[in-house]
Amino acid sequence: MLRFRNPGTQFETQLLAFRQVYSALGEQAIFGLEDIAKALATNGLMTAYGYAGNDALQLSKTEQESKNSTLMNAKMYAEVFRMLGWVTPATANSSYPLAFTYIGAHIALSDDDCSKLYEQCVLGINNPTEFSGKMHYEEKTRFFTSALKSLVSLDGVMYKHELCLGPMSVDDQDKAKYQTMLKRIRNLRGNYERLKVAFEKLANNLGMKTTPVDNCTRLPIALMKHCNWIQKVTNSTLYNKSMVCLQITEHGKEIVKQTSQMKDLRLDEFQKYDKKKQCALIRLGIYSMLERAGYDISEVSTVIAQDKKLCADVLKGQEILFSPYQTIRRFLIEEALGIHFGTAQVSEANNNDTNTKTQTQHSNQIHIFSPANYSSTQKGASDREETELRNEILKLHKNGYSSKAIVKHLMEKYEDATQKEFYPLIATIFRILGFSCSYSRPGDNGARWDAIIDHSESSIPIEIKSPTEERHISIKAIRQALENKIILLSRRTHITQPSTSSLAVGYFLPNERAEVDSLIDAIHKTYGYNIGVFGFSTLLDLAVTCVTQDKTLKFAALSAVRGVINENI
Amino acid sequence: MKIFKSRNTANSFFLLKDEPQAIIFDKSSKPLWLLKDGSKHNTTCLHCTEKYCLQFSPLEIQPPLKNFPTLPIKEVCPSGALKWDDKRQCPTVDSQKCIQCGFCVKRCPAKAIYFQNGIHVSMETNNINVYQNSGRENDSELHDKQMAYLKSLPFQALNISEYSSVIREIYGKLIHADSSVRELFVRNLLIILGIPTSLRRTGDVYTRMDAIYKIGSKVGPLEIEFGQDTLSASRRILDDIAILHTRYKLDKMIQLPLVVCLTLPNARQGYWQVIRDIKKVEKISISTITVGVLLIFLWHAEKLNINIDDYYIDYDNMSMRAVAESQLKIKIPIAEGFLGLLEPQK
Ligand code: SF4
Ligand code: SF4
Repeated sequence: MLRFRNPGTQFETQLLAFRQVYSALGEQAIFGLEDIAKALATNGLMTAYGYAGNDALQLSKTEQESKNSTLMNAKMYAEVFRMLGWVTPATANSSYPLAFTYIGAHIALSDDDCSKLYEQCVLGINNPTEFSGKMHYEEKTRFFTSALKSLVSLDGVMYKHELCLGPMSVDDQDKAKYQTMLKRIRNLRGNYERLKVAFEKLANNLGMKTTPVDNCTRLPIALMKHCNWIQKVTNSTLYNKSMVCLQITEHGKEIVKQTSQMKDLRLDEFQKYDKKKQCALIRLGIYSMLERAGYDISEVSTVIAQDKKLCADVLKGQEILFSPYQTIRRFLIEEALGIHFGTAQVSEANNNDTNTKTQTQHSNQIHIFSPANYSSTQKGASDREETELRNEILKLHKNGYSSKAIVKHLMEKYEDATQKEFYPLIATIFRILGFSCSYSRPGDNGARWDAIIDHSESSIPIEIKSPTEERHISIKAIRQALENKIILLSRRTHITQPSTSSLAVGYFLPNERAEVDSLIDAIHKTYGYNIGVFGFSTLLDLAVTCVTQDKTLKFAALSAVRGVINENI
Repeated sequence: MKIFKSRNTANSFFLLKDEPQAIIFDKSSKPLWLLKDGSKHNTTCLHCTEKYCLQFSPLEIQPPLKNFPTLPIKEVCPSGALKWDDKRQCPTVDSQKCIQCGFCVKRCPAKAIYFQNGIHVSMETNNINVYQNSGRENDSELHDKQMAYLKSLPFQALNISEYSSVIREIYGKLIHADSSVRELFVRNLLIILGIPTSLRRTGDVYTRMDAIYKIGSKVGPLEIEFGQDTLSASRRILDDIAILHTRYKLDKMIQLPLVVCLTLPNARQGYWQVIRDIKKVEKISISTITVGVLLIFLWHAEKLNINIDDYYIDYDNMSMRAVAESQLKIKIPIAEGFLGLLEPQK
């Protein structure tokens, strides 16, 4: 099955990004991902670590992680550009560096939205190509014409998984195979279970899970929608259940009609011809793409006429459907057109002097686990919940469980806790740590903290996310912790200071660690508030220490904490 | 290296024989150009070179803030309903997709697009008040001049009495629209009202606001909330302000934070109090405005002097009726609480 990778960006952005890269690097550039990244960042199109412009790369340099994400971003663009034939490998045998193409130059230098040329480029996608050595699939197809044709044959509507089972997995020029494919899909219809089984079998044969197979349909669907070939509709007749399906549009049907009357030239056939004919076919391919896209190519009409004559036996009077840049390497194309790209020096991607200042996270995270933060003052009377949890910890401790093992046990025990269970539990743990903490009833109006540590001067609101709400603390919880802080300062239901922390507690620490860190930092710089973040295991670890060593945590250890409190590992 | 030019650009526009004195709109027919000699002619698409109905100029979609990761969409029609028809050489409306926002109506200087049980484009190749340009030297200049003149003519495509019913219809469609359509809808609405606005490009996880906009020299973050989760909007705005403050060096006190919603949250919802809390503690006023009010501005006002600052409403005053009416200088014929447009529904 063909594998399409998700481009991750909107089409409008692709166009803008491409034009920026083109103008920044110049049409003759030979370039790599880092050059693309730099060109995009300088123009504010890409932000690395959240900083736009040149800062982006400087910062990225200091942090491998975000540098990688910047390059990943650039790679995403590069792959889309290459798929569409706007850039192409500069050399004969490797994928990078890249050079611009003649089609790319038209995209970059036209002043309209190029939607028609874009459409031609989508039609140009075909397999195999001179670059497809490393692909995981072998289907010989011009996928988009094949998909549209299938849509027409299948009453104008298809479900996305039928794309995988059908046009993405068939050689479209093999008439027998193609008809079998259509028949197979028709036979699946009417029973959703049949489709499901077939889809699972396909995934299985590919050695993939079903989700990534499903994901492979995202790009082709997005492209077809963008070209206005299909639209999404709700259909309940195909499989006797309501499903979002793809319906071919009038324009899509028109494309089927047009392309079915064209000479669809593929790599294997192309390679059979002699060089003179190949060059003529290249010119015909490129000029016809431009012509269909609405460019005025009358200037080259004599050349076209001559080439058509030379290739009469190939074309048999038909118009050619062949996108050279999306099929073969650039050298012969440039020779055929008499143009040259990539004549510039290979750029020294790493040449810009880097400023290796290290960026540190400015958090005043206290080493909360340091012994100085505990006091041996015993706490006052315990309530029932507290006693129960204490006893549980003590029992495990007695049975020879290490602190780590106790934490692990309790983590697992509350893995599926709901708000109703988790909020009181967190409040209980804070009481075990020695604070006066009470929780609010879940659902008690969104605009308030889930628990609060009451203190004579510096009360601390707590935002809690139970593992069933979100397993990892997210940006959302941080925003809520900020809101809690403001509400508490405004409504004064408990006494507090602006500098006193507001906490967010969740099951696991944030997944998007860098985003959360940077938000906490931005909140501090903008509003002056401290947001502290705890994972469940951190709190449990503190509780185990307090219970087993008969201690409590000093209030100061908590009241000004800022940032994500790392687990004590 | 020869770079070819697109065939479809320029050169095929039409020119007016006589510039109309006024535009007449009566519900039963197409809009009419009223000429000096008293004759009336149907308006028709002039294939204007700028294609105002279809696209914004690069200047109009320039981000109000340098380095902001902008989504550079040029399309005026938020739902993709309006497309250029190559064969007929004029825009066409896909009535299935059209949400009847009237953006294209407002944008067409010739008034060739109009409301009449849906949106229609008037295209008359034999209109006796127009002729095709023939490439004469100053045709282009004349065309630009005529378009600028047409733009200046007052035109009211909707009667004020129709506002409620049209808004109800648009709301019905917006509720079911994709979030990308909604966001584009709000952006385009603001741009057409003369407020430069940029949507954020997705994929940049460090700049999270839905959009930014600019009034005068002031820039503000904008959150679009078409559902019930207005509390999340006020939270997101605080996050946005912090991002603009730290990353874009825009002091929090000079920002103009704005929440654009479909309907105002009900009086009992936490939003109103939180907005007041934020003002009290942070001295930051987050304005709230509904799509409906913006649409009324779009249809009613020729030139707009909307002042977003004035749309600060909170728990102590949840109505924007008074301020909208004073800016529009009309009594808005919309019942109290209707769709939560001017004050909460309940
Ligand atoms: S409908 Fe109006 S704005 Fe659109 S192309 Fe025609 S004249 Fe221009
Ligand atoms: S009324 Fe709005 S949705 Fe309909 S075609 Fe015009 S711009 Fe598009």
